[in-house]
Amino acid sequence: MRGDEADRGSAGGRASVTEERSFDELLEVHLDALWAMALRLARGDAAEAEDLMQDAAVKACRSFHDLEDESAGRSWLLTILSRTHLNRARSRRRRPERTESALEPGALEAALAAWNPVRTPEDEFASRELHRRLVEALDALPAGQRVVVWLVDVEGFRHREAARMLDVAEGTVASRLYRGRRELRRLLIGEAGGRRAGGGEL
Amino acid sequence: MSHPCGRARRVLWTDDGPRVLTDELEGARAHVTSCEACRGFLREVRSMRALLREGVPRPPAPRAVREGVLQAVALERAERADPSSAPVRAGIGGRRARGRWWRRSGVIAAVVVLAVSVAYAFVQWAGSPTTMNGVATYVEDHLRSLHGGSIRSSDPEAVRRWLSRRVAFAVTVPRLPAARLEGGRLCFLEGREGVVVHYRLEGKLVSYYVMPGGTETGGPGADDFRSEANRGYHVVVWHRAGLTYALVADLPRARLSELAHVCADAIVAVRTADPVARASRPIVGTSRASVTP
Repeated sequence: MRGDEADRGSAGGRASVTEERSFDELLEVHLDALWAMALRLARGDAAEAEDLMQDAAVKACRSFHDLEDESAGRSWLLTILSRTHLNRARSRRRRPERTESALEPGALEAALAAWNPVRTPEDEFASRELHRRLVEALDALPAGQRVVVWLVDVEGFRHREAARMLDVAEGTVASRLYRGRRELRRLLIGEAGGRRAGGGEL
Repeated sequence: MSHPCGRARRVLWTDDGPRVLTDELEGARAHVTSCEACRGFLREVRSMRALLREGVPRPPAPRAVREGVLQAVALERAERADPSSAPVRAGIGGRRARGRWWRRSGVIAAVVVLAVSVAYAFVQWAGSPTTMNGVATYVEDHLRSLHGGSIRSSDPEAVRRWLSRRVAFAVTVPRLPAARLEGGRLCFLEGREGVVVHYRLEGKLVSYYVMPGGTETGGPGADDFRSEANRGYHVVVWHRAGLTYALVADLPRARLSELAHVCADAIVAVRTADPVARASRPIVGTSRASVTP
């Protein structure tokens, strides 16, 4: 009986073993990037981040055959992690978040035009216990904004790519990024800096 | 501030890097060269991006997290390979329960390392020539964990059935007083396939190993339980009817010894009640002896 099972496994399972190995290698390579993002999406809650990682990894494992180009593995994994997080955040409703409408192009332009830059942003940001405050500021963002800020500003994906990853319009990415950056700036520079720097309320 | 500023900023703030030159892009760049406020805005945007990219801590995934993720994937594969075990897992909370289970995978990984030590201690104790390669043994067990799957359940019968279907010897899952059964998995030590059952007692993980092989030492009344300490963990090893048993936990030696006796008694009780098992694997030397200090 066991022999039969072993035979079936070796005859029919060769491709799947190769696939499993490829997936394991891909996952291993990008585990640190996934963890860093999961940790922030979970607002620093390591247990929550680990649950999120496991959920995302299992989903990725199930749909690995859909990944046509393994060179896109990082964005593919981060996409699954992002969507998993947003789905969990939506279904959990423990931290209800405001529904945000995407800004119309005209409104976005008006908001950007009203953004008065600080004189020396490096100095403003650098002198304020940067690491701790950056983390706190990121954690304070709503889930949708946090994901976009992470993908675009931390991971370096373009707006278009982030929109594709999150399955939203580019305008939505731009709106969330604008609001996320505005909030980060307010939190990092403080209320005085925020008022001085301007930025219209939308 | 005017909308030409807003238009230019909307065009330019999105991405750094090469872009297709359009009239809109050209116009935005031309505007910025003559607008100090927009230059300041773009400086600030780049500065914030640089801060986020370089200033946000990005710690590497801890080993326990890596193991937990790989185990979750292995469990998923095991479920796909053996759907009959899925209802048992689903019955105890599905994915979220699994998250809690594998969150302790750091401890499990530590126990795996300890299991290697147990196997080594056993080889030394039995006086057999050892061919153990610690690294290879660790990898073997890791691979077994990846591909062999596991079961999470507090039902001893469900765990016993699941494990028994996968190994060539009868498995007994004892009920340990005050301990909560958490599940079990296959393990692979010294080229031999065995099982490990996990319990939670006083918040601590207790691992109960059953491995094929092992020499029956000592008759009734002899010291046939051996206790050792390793890296802060206590291990009790004993043999019965061609099987080697080990109990590993961060518990006091006397407590672990009591649990080992409970396990041994449970095995005897099952075999006594099951004439088939008794006939096929007669128990020899079932006496409980004191633990070797």
